[in-house]
Amino acid sequence: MNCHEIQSLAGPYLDSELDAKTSLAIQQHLTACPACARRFAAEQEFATRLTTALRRGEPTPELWRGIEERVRTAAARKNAARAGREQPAEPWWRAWLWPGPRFYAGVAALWVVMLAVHFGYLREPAQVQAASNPPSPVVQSALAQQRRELAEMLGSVSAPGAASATQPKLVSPRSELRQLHDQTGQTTWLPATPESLPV
Amino acid sequence: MHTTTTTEADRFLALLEPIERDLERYSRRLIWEPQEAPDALQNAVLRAFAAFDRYHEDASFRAWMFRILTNEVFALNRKHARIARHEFQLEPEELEGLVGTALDGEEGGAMPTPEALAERMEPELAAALRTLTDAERAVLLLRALGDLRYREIAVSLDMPLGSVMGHLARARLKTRLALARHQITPTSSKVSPS
Repeated sequence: MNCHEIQSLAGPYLDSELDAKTSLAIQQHLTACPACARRFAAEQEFATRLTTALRRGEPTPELWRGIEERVRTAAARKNAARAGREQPAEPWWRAWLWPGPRFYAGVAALWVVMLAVHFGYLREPAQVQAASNPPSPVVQSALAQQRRELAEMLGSVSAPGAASATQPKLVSPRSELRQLHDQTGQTTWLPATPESLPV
Repeated sequence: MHTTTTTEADRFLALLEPIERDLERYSRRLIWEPQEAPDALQNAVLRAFAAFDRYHEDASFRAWMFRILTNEVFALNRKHARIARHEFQLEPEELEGLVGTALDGEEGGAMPTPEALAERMEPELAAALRTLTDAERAVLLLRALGDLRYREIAVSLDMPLGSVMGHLARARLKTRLALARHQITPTSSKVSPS
């Protein structure tokens, strides 16, 4: 190697970054070349002085205390996040023995719904519907037909010349009064006589 | 679980403690705004702790920490966009021509004494570092303060090994020239600040 090549390797040589073979070649050259040896010595001295100068200045203890405190705070946050993620699962049998408040809340809600259905939805709406909605024309016609037939039958039973003594007296289930609903939905109590029955 | 995390923080701080001084000096020398050095340092340490799960024991913690801190400081330097304005512009040919002058400095009386560098030349040293590019300054400081090998510097700065050697050679030369500038007579020097 000539002087120019040796000079270009001054930095890596002084930093001990060269392989053994190249380092040996440089050492041999420096032994034989005072000019290069002088330049290498100057380079090394400058590097040492520069490093010494750059390393001046004391660390700031309060800065590092604050940093350490922040690291520990970050560690606590990390810990909390991990604890949230890695909570152990509850054994299955514990869920059966002690279902927990959600289960009981569900049972209570179910009871409330059942009671509401029983007292409010099934009974009351049926009564309200019967009172507010008049029978349809078909039903009214059927009822009228039935009444007519009943009146005819009762009339034939009470006709003159009939052997009323031998005929058994027909007894209506509600022999005295019959409950009828008129068009307005009002309840009317009428005597159960053929004449009083509406046709 | 708490014990595990406490151990993790303790382990991290135990690894950090021996290099605290070098990290602080490095951040103060590398950053453009000295008052931002504590913030850069704190952000880098917290960032490193957050990523400590991914740190492998067989890797160099020192190199890993310096890499994170370098990225943090570079980000701050980019934010201020002051790099180009302060650079000491020299063409490669000029640097080649100055090699002899710089290395012969001792003979010409331009070599600063250790005391001068250590005590009197602190402002000049800071100004000399400002003549370097970000990469040159980082390579020089990682070698001088971080005690990192060339290969570790290459990994830390994500650049080829040859680039590390080139940046380091230029950084040393430019620093030497900037420090010696006021002692070199115009007739003996080709340096002309841009």
